[in-house]
Amino acid sequence: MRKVLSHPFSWLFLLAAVIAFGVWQGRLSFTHPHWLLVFPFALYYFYCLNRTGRGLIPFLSSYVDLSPGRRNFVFGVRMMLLLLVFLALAGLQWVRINHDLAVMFVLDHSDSISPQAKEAQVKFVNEAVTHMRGGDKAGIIVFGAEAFVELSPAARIKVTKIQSVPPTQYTDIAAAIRLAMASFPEGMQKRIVLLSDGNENLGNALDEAQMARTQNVPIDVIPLVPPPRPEIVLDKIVAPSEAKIGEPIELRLVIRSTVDATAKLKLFRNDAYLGERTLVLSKDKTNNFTFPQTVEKQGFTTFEAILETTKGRDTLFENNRGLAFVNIQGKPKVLLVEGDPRTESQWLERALRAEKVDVERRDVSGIPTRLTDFQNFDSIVLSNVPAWDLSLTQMQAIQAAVRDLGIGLVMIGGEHSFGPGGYRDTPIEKALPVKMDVKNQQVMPSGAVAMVMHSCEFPNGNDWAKATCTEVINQLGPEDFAGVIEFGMTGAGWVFPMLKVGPNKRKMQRLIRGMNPGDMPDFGAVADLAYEGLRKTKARLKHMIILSDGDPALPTPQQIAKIRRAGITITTLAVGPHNKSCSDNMKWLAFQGKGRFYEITKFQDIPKIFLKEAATVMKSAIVEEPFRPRVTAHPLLKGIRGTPPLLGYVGTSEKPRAEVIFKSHRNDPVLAVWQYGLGRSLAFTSDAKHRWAAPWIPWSGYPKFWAQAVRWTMRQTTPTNFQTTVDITRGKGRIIVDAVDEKGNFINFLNAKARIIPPFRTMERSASSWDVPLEQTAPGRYEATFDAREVGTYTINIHSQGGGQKPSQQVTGAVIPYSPEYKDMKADRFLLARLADVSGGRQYENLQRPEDIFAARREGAKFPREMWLPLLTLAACLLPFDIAVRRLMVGKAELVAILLFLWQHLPLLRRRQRTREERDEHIGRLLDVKQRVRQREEGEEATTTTPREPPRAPTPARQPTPPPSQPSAQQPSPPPSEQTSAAEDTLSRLRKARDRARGQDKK
Amino acid sequence: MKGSCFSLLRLPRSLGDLFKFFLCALCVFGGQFALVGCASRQTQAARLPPVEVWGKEKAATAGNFIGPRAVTVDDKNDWVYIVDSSGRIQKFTRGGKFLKQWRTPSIEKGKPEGLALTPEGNLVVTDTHYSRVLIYSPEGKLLKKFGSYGSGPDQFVLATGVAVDKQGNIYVADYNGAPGEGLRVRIHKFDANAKFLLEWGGYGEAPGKFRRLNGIAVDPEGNVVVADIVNHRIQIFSPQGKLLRYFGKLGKGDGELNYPYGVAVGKDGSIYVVEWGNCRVQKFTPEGKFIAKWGGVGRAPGKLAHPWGLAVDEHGYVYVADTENDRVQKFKL
Repeated sequence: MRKVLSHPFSWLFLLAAVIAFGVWQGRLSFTHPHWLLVFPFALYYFYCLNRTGRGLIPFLSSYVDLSPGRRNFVFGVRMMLLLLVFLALAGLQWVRINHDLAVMFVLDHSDSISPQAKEAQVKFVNEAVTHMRGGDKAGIIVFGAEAFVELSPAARIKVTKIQSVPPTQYTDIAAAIRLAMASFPEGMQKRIVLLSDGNENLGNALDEAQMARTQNVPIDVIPLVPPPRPEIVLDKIVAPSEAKIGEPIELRLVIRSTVDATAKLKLFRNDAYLGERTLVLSKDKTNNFTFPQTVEKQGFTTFEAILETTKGRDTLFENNRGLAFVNIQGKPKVLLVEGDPRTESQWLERALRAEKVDVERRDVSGIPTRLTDFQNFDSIVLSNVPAWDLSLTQMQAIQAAVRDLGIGLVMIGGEHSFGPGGYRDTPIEKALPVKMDVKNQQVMPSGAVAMVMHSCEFPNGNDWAKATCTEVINQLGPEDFAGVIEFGMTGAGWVFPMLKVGPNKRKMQRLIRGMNPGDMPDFGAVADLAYEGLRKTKARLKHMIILSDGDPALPTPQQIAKIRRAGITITTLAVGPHNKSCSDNMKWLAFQGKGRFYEITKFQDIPKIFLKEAATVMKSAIVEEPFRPRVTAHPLLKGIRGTPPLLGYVGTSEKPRAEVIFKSHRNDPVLAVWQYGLGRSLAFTSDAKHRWAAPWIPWSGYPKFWAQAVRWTMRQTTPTNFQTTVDITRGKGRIIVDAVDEKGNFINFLNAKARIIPPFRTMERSASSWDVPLEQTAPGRYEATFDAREVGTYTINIHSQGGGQKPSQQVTGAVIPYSPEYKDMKADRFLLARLADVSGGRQYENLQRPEDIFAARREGAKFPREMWLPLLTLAACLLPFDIAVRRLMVGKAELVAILLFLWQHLPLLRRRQRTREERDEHIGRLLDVKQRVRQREEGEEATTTTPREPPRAPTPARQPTPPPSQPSAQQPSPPPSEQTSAAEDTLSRLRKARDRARGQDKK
Repeated sequence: MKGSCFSLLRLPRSLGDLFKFFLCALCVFGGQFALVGCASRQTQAARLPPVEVWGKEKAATAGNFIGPRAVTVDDKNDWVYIVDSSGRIQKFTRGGKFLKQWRTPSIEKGKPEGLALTPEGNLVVTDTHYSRVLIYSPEGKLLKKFGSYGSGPDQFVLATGVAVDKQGNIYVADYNGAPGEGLRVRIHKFDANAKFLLEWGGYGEAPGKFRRLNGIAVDPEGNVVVADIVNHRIQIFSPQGKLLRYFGKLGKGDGELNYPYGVAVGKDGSIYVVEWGNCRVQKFTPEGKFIAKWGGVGRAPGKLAHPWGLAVDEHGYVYVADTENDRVQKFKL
């Protein structure tokens, strides 16, 4: 038995058995087990070396001359080393198994999920987590078009109400799966539970399911089936994109329905009701209906269809709408908008008509709001139209019309235009060749506005106050002054005192954001404060705007007189006055202050009115002096020699790329032009009516000048006859253009680009658009794709050149009238089943078994840990042993010396302190043993008189450890004879030496 | 103490060192506290911690307030009534226990601003923006209402404050901001049956005229104490409307007022004024001599934020409607 145990091979077998057991249990694994096959061969080689003592390589036979015991020891060490190296090569891994489960519940909250289904989801989750075990964790993700983490994985969760609100117009299951995978905690088994109807319309969930599989995350799916309900969906309207006047076109409607029903279809053209027709719909079949139409009027025509049906046959109304665009080509037309309704400018209209320009004159209220409606015109003329009469959408549309559709813009001045018209920082300013900042600001007198904000107790009142102040500051020129007064905790005070807008604009905006207007008991205090501030600015025009409910006490007559004397005007806005007397107060105050009074009924009007009021101080940008414009030659002045003088203009400054054709006597631009995107725009800072252009009206060149100016801005491209279809599905739009010339030949090698203008966002101050190049994919066929995720109208301008054609463009549109969430009427169980299959998850039938989520299929997750580094480290540590055993002569004597050393220096607490004699005796005994061994090994060379080892006198601080024997002996019982004498000799010698050193002789 | 400073830089080795260290620390920090305390006394009102603070959060629930505006105390039954900007009248015990609440009939146009008690214990409420006065029983039952919008003697524009004397006569403070035709800032006197007796006042800065009215109270002699807000003064009239005296001017110091919104008169005749602008309460003798002040702007207990009204009970406890802190604080001077 002993022999077996001592044999190195038996240890090896034991180790191998242990490893095999570990592998079988799954606790150990190998990544490259083939290296283990090489191990026996290497072992055999070393074994042979051990036995024969002769190796194939000379230096390896170095331990041939060792003793067998030592040789076996070396062989053992070598074998261990080899084993370690080979285990490391084979990639031994220690596998940790974690039985805890982390589950991420992924809840679909898109618009296609009903509120009842959402509640059922929450109930299901709460049920399921009651079956969680010890170290389990659960988390919740809520998704629609984007995914949000509602609850991070935690050991205990309870949901009462879902707090996250993701955008819900789309379903993006892929994003939700991605987020879930990123949210898992490490070191646990992972699982995703997806509750959805499977109607994905964004992203690709199957790809993500594949990813989940590679990361060992199964996706369990629970379909949320919408209860069967009657639904009629107007899928789309198909119409040609271009047609000629009078040409019959066909509108084709595609309708889907889950029930047999009759529905009434109402058709509108350009918002005008055309008529209705009763349709018979059959369920589960694509119903197609065609409507022939003829359009007599030129321009961009929008057809809209709305389906109505009897109650109970349709659940969602949002998907009963469809839009289509047809462009009816015709003669070029100009839109003329007069800001001043008192029609002082019929001169301009008459002049243009006389020059055969087709003019359509409209009021400010007639300006189109949709970009596609501008398509009817080739140029837009705005004469003295203030910015506060236009909505942000209209301004964005005009900017996009010029930049992206190539329509021209002509802006004619007046007292309500350009800077004083409030155009600073608007989309239209971006399209103009001039900036609203006056160039020679130092010469121009400045204006000062003090705004008083009180009683913003209507909903979002505070926000309205802040937005209003910010708008006004944006409109003022850099040399103008602005200040805001509020009643704060300590009384009437400046949010910021009257400061110049230019250098302080950012500071002002920051302070406005922190504004907190409170109650105001008294106008008088405020009036005093404003008076002081406004007077100090020394601005030419000083104005105060007060927003209040009329409750505060009015200023005293003395205060009012003071204000009037200083030339300060007061305008009041009454918001929510308690009664007539309150609004009368405000009226009286405005009357006394020679300003205006407004009674606010719509809060949205407040910023507009403030703007208008602030613009009164910007009248300082107007120069009213007669002058003769200095002329630079330009094609649009062809045939015009010299102009009569003008009587005034609005100060502006030209933009770097603009061409200035007329300059004023002060070097300010009067007529400037430039190219903006695909279109041209022109700014004329004087006016076209009798106020400043009186000498021009009788001038013979007046009609010619304006006609040429307007014509110059009109679109230069010819419309094309391309057949264009645009289709938007799953967040991507696809454009297909078929270019065929009149003869029917394909047009190839066109350099065509599609300019995409997405639906306007009111948060942005500028319309966005981008170009997508059209690639030719077949003779005469060009295609492009673009991102389309927002609901609304996408306007697309296809402009092209080359291919033997003149530069041309075609405008068309595509609509997402409602979120695609409303299109699908059933759950897509097929997709959900595929997701579960691909990822290795389970398909549940419904929400009935929440307990299975945590109970079923807990295999435990394996977390292998690479062991090669510790193994190699251990091998490296063994290597010195191998060398040491072969090289160092460590015999018994050395072992004894080592033991002696350790004995003396290791505190073995069990041992008691012995007496000095016992110690000495013990030491003497050890020394003798040493000597004896030495003598034996070295033969007769050793003499007892020359001890070679240094005396080891014990130091006072260290107590040598006494052996356990003889606890009570005072007299050391000496060991037998000659040892004793030798010991005594040695010992006495030592003592003598020590005493000598200490200078005492005890002997 | 040679080497004493250096010994402080080392770790204290002995008790002596430790003692020196603490002495120095005391001097440094104690000096700072003293400085702060001195300085603060000049800029803010004296510290008076409240006995109680009612209202935990800004909510229209029982025991909580949204912008409380007026307080009145029923000494006989130990009840306190408070009206706030949610249009609720809440009834508490003097100890702060919530008893009951009810709403005035209409609140869309605005909420009531004044409270007073008749000798019978009924509650008189000025429904300000509806230009009328409501009288409720202690249980919240509407007993009577009178008044309408207009410039007639028994008509109001904005009936802000109300006070009742021992005989049951009702004084209503009527405010309208402008010197318009016929509409004037004035005080009406009605008898216990709401019959009009007399009116006085007018818009202006002269003594006897007002620029804004809200707080009004009756002193033990029956005189009417009126807070003339925008003129920053308190005016005291005889029951017939004759001006007896006035005091106060705009300022932050002792005895000066900054938009005094509310007045109350204690059993001994001393006048308590709560100032919206200075966010504090001041106590005056009946002649108008300054006695004490407390409060100061802030959110901590004991501080006030634009308070609108106050009331005093017969034991000398002062209940302040700390409007913008949405709470009522009870003090004892």
